[in-house]
Amino acid sequence: VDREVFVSPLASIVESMQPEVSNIKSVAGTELYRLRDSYIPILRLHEHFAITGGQAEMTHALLVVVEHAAHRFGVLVDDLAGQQQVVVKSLEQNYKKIEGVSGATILGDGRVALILELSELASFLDFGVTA
Amino acid sequence: MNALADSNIGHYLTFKLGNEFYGIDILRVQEIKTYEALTPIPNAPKYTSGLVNLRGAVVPIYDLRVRFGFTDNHDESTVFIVVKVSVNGVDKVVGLVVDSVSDTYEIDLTQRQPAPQNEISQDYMYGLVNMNGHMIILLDVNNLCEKGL
Repeated sequence: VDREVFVSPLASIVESMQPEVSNIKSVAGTELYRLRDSYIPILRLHEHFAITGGQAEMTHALLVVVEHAAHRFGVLVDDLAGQQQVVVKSLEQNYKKIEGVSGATILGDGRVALILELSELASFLDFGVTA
Repeated sequence: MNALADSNIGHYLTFKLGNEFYGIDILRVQEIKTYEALTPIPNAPKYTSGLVNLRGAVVPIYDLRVRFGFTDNHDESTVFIVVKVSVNGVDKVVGLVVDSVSDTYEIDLTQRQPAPQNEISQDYMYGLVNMNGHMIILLDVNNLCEKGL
């Protein structure tokens, strides 16, 4: 998202796709994406984390469909960077809990990346619609 | 810090924020690092600059200049001072962004003047001392990290 790199657990990722405008719906302000026969809520990661410079135009972004506790939802990101094994480092050791983040890791180039906590992100969405 | 206070002599590392000199207990200083790219923390206060990889540990960096209302221009003398603090009984390592590091001084703490009440709450200030014509503001980084960040 923008220039920042986030990490999501691979086991939770169902698929990723380029969203199509015709499949974007909304219910009482909650954005939904029509994924084949079901509607899944969309979380715009850059809005949630207040990152300026994220791709606001949904058709230019990627929708990553993740599954948590039998609920599916879409996380809107700018790009997928690839997959790698990471070592989870504690954030709380020197800092404190960040909402929606389970920990941090150090990327190959030495940068710190935050690891998403999907259960917390899911709780920000309304789960009236289940997959 | 208490042991030092008892002996009335403290060793302080001084640094500059804007045109003001600040001092922190040198026993708290772990290292001084040149400025490098940070990973921003979502939804964090403005003075929380981000996270940095310090030999495998993830360490938060706070910009003291933003915290205390200075401008946050980066130049080649901008550094992180990495300090060890104890926050609510837990030892932590944090980095503080300052404009430049100046010198270390042996400070006679009996000469310490009380700090005025201003936006940097008295809680974070250990007092004021005069050193070679400069006023040095002694910071209590422990209290600052516990209450002020």
